[in-house]
Amino acid sequence: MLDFIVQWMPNVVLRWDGLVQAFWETIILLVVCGFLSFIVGLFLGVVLIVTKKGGILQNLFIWRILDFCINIIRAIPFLILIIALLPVTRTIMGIAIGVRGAIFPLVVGTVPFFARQIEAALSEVDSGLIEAAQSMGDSPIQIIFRVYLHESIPSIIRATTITLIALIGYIAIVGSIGGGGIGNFAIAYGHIRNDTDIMVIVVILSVLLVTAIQSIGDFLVRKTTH
Amino acid sequence: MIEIKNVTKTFVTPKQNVHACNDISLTIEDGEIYGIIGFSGAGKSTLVRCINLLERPTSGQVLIDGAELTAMSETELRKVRKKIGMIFQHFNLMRSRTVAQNIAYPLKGSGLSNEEIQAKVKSLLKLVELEDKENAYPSQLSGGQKQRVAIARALANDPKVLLCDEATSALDPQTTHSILALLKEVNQKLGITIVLITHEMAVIKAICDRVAVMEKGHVVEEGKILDVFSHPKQEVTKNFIRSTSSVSQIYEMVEKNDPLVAIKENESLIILSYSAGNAGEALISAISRKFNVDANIVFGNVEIIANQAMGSLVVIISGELSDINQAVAYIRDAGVKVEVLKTC
Ligand SMILES: Nc1ncnc2c1ncn2[C@@H]1O[C@H](COP(=O)(O)OP(=O)(O)O)[C@@H](O)[C@H]1O
Ligand SMILES: [Mg+2]
Repeated sequence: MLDFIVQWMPNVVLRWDGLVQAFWETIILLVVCGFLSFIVGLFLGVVLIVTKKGGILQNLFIWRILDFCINIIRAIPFLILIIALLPVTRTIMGIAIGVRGAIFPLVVGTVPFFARQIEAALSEVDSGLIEAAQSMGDSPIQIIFRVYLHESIPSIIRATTITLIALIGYIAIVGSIGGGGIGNFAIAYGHIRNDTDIMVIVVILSVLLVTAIQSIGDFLVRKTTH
Repeated sequence: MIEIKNVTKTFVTPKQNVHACNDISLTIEDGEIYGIIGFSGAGKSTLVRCINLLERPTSGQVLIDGAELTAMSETELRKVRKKIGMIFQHFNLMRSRTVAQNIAYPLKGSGLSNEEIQAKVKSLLKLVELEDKENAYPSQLSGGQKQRVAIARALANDPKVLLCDEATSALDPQTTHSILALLKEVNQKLGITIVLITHEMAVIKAICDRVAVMEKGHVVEEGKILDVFSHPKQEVTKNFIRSTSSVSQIYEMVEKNDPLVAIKENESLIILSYSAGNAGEALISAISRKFNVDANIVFGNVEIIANQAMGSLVVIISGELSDINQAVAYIRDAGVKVEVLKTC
């Protein structure tokens, strides 16, 4: 087995430590940015739902601004967004490359994507449930947590799964322009040095990661759907 | 007591202003079952939503036991709403929660301990006869069972008032019957005032004490159910009453020239509508003797409304026209409504 690997994947063996390091960077970025984007995106998705016309805390001023900002960010291709954000990233994080430098543009790029999906998930909540909760004397905050969020747990999990998988793609893009992770590794060794075995292992790792996330997501959706 | 005083609700839409409720005043007494009937779009839901201020009236006042809801802040209103249960056409149960969790939903923040909440849920499940469904999810229940859960949930905070917006409109007739029986039981056992909205006269007939008829945002007729049924004033009310009575078929039969209602020369087809106190059958034999006419009962029905008999008879009278006219006048004098459908 080991002979086989050494024979067919000499560069993987050679760069093993670098590969492990890159994979961990990707995982760390996924966890950190996934977590931050989840919190901020969920919050903004809720704000979109409650402030829109006819929402429980209707505020068209806030809604319009938020809706506009999300549209703008989503309209910019991610690669261009990272480059455009470089000065801001440098100011906020103190550095614009590496894992630290990648966090800020990743969150900025992911949040609008996730917020839109949360908005879609929450808008599926039957307006009758909101009415019932109001008739039982619930406050807007209670309605947000006990109806909107509680009733859409499966949809929120689905949105999270999709977003995490999209985030892996984003991490690779950031990596390709110096942001760390397996994207960076693939470019540096697989592409520039033309080490095919490195490319193969990066592809395999990506597929495994995405499959794992999708399976966990599907499992949780099944668990929470009644 | 629920007092609705000059309540008007106007929805401002880009296209037009919709006057869903127009200067409506009603008083609903404690412990009664008050029906509000009207066709779709008449403004019934808007009116009932004005009672718990889910919809804030454009003008007018709503008072419950003397407390003016229309003068309250949202925070105060939330407290009041806990004492006003509400059920809906589509049940509006939380899919992510079990039956027991749905019923316990409004008890959060009520100050009850977990054990007390569980005991309360158990007793409510018993009341609505769903003790075996405690851990089921709404998706596993039938429509009637869902409405029972909704009723239990609406009663969790021991409300004084229960608002029902088309609560049986999504149910089949048999299930409707059992839900109405449950509402009646809730009304009598717990003394809860019920405001019930429907577009079906049969529902009103089955359990209401009083009824208001709504048309285009106005209450056009209002009163004790027996009075409204026996002496309907408005055309819309008559239509609703007709829709629930089997005698209504007679109009179709007349139109289609059905042999059962075919009349020969010197005959008239009439409908007598009588309410408690003046039995129609006795009159029929009386006119035969007094006016030298033959009266032949084609069909009739007697209904029990608000514990009193009410009925209609479809009769073919034959004889001289003047005798028939005298006979009809005699019946009218006896306080029975007569409608002459056809004369030959
Ligand atoms: N939120 C709303 N905005 C605009 N128009 C409304 C709104 N709610 C109800 N309406 C209008 O008010 C009228 C009465 O509606 P509703 O009270 O639901 O009638 P019903 O319950 O008797 O069918 C209808 O014409 C309806 O279109
Ligand atoms: Mg309605």
